[in-house]
Amino acid sequence: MMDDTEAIAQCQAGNPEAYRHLVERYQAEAMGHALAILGHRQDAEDAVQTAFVKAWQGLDRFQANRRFYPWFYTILRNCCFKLAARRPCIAEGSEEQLALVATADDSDGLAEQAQILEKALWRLSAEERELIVLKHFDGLPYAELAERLGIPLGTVMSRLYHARLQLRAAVARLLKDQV
Amino acid sequence: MNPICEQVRLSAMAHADGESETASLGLAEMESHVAGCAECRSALAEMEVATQLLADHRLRPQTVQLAARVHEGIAAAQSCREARRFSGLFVALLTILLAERAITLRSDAPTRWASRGAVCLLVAGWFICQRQNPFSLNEHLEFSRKITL
Repeated sequence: MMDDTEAIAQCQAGNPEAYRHLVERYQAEAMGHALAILGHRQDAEDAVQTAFVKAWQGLDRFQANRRFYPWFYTILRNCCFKLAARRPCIAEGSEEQLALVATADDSDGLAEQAQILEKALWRLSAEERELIVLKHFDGLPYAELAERLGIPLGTVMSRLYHARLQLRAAVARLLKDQV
Repeated sequence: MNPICEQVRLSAMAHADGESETASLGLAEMESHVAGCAECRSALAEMEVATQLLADHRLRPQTVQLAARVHEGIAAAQSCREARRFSGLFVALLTILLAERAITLRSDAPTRWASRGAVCLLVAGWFICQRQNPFSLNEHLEFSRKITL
């Protein structure tokens, strides 16, 4: 299998087939991230497709010492937020909204928790949800979060702190509603 | 929340996330504040619950096949770029011809040609300001048409 560096070099030499490797390698990850921001499958697919096309057009400016996905992610999130600004918000619990969260194992208690967490995540803003996904599900360190989101490290910490508290408050409200 | 409490909470979060180097306060300094601040204790406990809840879950894997759509999108974008390049050449050629004609006829009716030139410049300036090429295809229409094929 071709590695990213080789695929990018071939793309820069004008071979569009090499780009297929990059698309196939990163499309699922990109889709997960786009869904976390947009909450709608069709919109997420459109955003990912547009981002891959834009990335292809900008590949001649790509620096070989960088990793592809973090660079691509900045394009993807721009496409997602542009699309989100044009589309109305999807109501929480709507059928259009997709399942974002899965349990780490298959125990029944966790499945119930996953549903609550899912609902709580949809009560956060798209920016907060994005931050939570990148930090907790992708395990990115603060420095990489700052790079991907284009904000200072201190801002990452502050936003993450508030996003976690918002999430905790949303979970508490949902649990209270259940009782 | 006062600035010291905020500093303590962000530092505690950084230590808990294994990012101690980004924390502005050391563990000992932080713990002594938390011991005497009920609000910070409560906020940190809430954050701990959220962190634990998230640790038991992961992002649901997505299955998607976008390679063909991306390929079509790239082809559509490239054809738009080609069309734009050719229309640019066409505009340049037309401008040269009009300029040549204007210079030739300038001596016959200078005022009329000056007013026509001003109108042409205004129209061209409008498209330049809007960053649009009047002779290119509508990129968005062309793009969506190709996608739906």
